[in-house]
Amino acid sequence: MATIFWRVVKESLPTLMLVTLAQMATGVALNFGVEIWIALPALLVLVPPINDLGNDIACVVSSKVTTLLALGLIRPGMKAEGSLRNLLAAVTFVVVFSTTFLAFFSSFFTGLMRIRSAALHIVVAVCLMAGLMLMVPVVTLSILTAFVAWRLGLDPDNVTIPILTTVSDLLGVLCVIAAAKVLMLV
Amino acid sequence: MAAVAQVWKMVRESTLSELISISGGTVAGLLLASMLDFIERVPSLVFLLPGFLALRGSIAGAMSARLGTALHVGTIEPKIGLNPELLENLSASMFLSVVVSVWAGFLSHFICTLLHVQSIGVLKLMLVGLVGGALSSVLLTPFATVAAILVFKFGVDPDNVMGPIITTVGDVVAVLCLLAAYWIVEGWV
Repeated sequence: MATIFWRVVKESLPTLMLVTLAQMATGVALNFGVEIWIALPALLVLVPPINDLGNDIACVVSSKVTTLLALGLIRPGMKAEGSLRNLLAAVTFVVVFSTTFLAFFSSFFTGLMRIRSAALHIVVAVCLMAGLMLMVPVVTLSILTAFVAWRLGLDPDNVTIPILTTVSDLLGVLCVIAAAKVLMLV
Repeated sequence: MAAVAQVWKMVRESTLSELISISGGTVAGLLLASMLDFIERVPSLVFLLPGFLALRGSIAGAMSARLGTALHVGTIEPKIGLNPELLENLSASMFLSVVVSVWAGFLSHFICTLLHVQSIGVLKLMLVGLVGGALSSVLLTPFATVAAILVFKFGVDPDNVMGPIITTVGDVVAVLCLLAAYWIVEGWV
């Protein structure tokens, strides 16, 4: 009786409690940027989609690298092989395209809802800068953790994704704050 | 030329789901921006929010992944109705959601104390977690179940589509539930 219930609870509870603890760091980062959000609430609108983008990059890159390793198309090492270079090119294109879309999409709705925002070209710059800044560490960490998990004989799909999405949430908030600071919006 | 074709294939396959995911995230962001006065007034909620958001995706996402496997294996039939395995999956997700949300409330108070940020109190934060976790699991868990079954019935593999669907719907539902939970607890306690 209730074997599935207890198995699911037993397997998931420790990880979920740890992930929740780690997510407190993202809360601290959000709190750190509170002056920015109050000055320009439209930048807070960008945080969840930038985090979604980071999570998706982590999932796609670590899954693809795992598949490429399993197929023997790449080997764990520092040399960027053909398939890996193609993956990086595709991710860069998707990040540039998606963040530009995000700038237009969010500006349309912040304008409609009269949420205080910067000029459109500034929002485009913030989105592009935050997206590209986020891409570099997330892609690097995704590849490295996939390699390490592979070498240790763990299934990277089960190990890397929960770690990476937690780290990328924290980095996502920090990248939006950094982009706003670099462009001297606040 | 082969390299260009390979890059183009990856771009084509991931761009659409990325745009959907970003659009859903923007809706959650708009909700967040509209509750900015809360964030100013109740800073302790800021610490609760990311954990609460991540939790929705991981619990409902994991449940839909388990259902996807059970549907493929045939231990759950693709029809809307309750069978023992489905019921156990549903109740496990709801239980996890509530327990981990209360834990998130407790941790938020601890972080507030550590950073000398004004907290609404450990009991209230744990209650916000409890009510928010219960509300969002009552909404999200049945949604994930019905969506996984319907998607499977239409011949689409739930493993491929349920992730982005749950993240998108989960973000919006989580922000709304957290807000509702705060209102309920403030009016109650």
